[in-house]
Amino acid sequence: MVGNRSDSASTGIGSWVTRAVHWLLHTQEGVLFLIVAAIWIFLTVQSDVFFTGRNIGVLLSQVSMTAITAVGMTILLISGEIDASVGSMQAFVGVIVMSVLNNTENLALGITVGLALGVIVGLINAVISLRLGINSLIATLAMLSIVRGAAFGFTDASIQNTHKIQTFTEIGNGFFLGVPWPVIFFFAIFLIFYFVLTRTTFGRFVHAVGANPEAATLAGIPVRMVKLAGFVLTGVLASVSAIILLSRLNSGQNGIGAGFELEAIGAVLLGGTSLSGGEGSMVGTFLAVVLLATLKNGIVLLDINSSWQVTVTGLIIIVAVLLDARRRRRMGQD
Amino acid sequence: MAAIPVGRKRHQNGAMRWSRLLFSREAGLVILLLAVVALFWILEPSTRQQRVYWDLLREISPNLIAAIGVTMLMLAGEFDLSIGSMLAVTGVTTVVFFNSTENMWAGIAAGLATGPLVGGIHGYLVTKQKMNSLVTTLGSLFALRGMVYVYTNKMPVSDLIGFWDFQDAYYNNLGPAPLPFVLAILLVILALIVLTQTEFGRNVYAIGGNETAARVSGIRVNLIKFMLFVICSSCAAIGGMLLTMQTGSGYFNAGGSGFELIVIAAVVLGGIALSGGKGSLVGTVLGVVILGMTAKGLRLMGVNTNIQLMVTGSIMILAVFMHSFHDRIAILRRR
Repeated sequence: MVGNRSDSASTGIGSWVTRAVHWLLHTQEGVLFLIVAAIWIFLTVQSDVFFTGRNIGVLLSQVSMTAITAVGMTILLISGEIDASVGSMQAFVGVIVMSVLNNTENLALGITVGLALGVIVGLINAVISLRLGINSLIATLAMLSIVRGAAFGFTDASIQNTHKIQTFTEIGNGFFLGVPWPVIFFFAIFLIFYFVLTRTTFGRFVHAVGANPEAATLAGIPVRMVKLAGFVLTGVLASVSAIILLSRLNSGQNGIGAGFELEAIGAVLLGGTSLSGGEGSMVGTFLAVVLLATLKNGIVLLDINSSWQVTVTGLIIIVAVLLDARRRRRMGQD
Repeated sequence: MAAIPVGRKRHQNGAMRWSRLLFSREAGLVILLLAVVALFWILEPSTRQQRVYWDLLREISPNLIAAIGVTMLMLAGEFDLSIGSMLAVTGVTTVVFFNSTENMWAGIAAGLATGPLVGGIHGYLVTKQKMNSLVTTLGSLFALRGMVYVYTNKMPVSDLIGFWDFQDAYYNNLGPAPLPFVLAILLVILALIVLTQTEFGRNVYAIGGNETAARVSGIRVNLIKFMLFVICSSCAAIGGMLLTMQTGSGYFNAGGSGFELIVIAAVVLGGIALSGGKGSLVGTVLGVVILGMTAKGLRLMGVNTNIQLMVTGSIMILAVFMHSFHDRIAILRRR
């Protein structure tokens, strides 16, 4: 990255353009950006409906749940851990929050309980992974089953909305200045954690811990605390997703969110975050999430069999990883 | 434990050999299995019939066969998450060829051929394109499932001709043993011989232990990994064939409710390290049987299917903790 590019040391427009071109062609984010842009242009030409405020709002609302969880997952993956339990969290948090709301008619209490569940499951994941020393993929896969079982144990049917709190319905379906609330939550959370990851000490710790835990320990970084924070953050953001989903579905369903974890993790990896930790990008995650949402939206708009959504999601993940692998090899050969 | 330092000096000491066996991973799993069986024996009278256990062995055969491939792949440090989708690909392909060729063997051949085909693609992407296998196969999990959805329009594909021999084979027995289980055990023995008695097997362990060292010492890492991906998908295809025989139709959602996770859980329960290079196929077999027995016992007790999930998850954590405990003791003993 440093050695070959002495010519761009000159200041001014030229160097800015060189850097932009480099970003577009040589980074995962840039490649994703180009793909997203190409598909957006294609869909705008092909469909009258695509590039309208309403459709873009729908598109981003639909993806906001995956996106919010993916933000936490990005930080967790960079710190070298993973959380597969987020899918079951969608069901578990959903049924409990809906039942609390039905019984107390207190929105603040319901949301607090939901977020607290995120903290608790995050802490359990952290304790099993970090204290018992069990690989976090296995630990959280086990938690995926346990949390799903807990959701089914809590209720064997879906819990309908009997409280009719208007503000609660607004969370998933309302608008603020013409922008859907889920999209506002999604953008706000993304921006906050973009800054946390790139501009704060904690963000640097996350990278250091994931890149080389031994070196980070020697440098005096509280490795376990940083990873624990990652687990709790992912748990809480999964709860936020669950609450938005709950509001959109208007009922707590114990079977919801199967495969959600694979979509969230897939988006993060598609965004260029490394599975082995230490490397990753929030912008990449954002673009990946938008790309997946655009494809699904496009398939609906172009009136293609909706089963293609699943296929295309898979193929896109493979293509993105393929591009990333080629890029890495090119850089290795330089 | 006091005898250990003495035993270390005299390796051929009989007592030492016994203590080795007693403290081995597999012994711990056998004890866990016996505990699970004993528990259900006490709690649920219907598990006291012999028939239940033969049924169990029939039901776990697809998982067991798929787990062989996953074990071999994980020993070399790679993953395959797509095996659940493979079940559906194999099933649908088989039945579609049944109907179009009206020939049972053509259908079976076509169904089984999907294994090497998909495995070959995975092998190419991972070894030649240097893609991470976990993410690549996560992608093909979606891609394959989606293709099955598109092709079948989310409708089961029925065997229009009625190859009853095909279905009977699943339910028939060889002596007291269910045929699918006989097949599974034969494959386990074959894989066990390959892993422990051949150069190929030693190389698999070497690659999982330290890939760079294996490469430097002249092992053809890429070729072996490629073959392992083919083996893994082929095992999944055989498992998918058994499921197809069970129902006589190609079901679009076969293996769709986390088959890959259940198999990987069983493999990890059996003591195969996620980082590769460590563990044995015997552990995997025990892992599959333990999880299968737990699920069946709970089902017979009439416990909610989903409480079963909680129990499975807890057993998994317990087992992995047991393995890490075992590793720590092993380190202490070596000192």
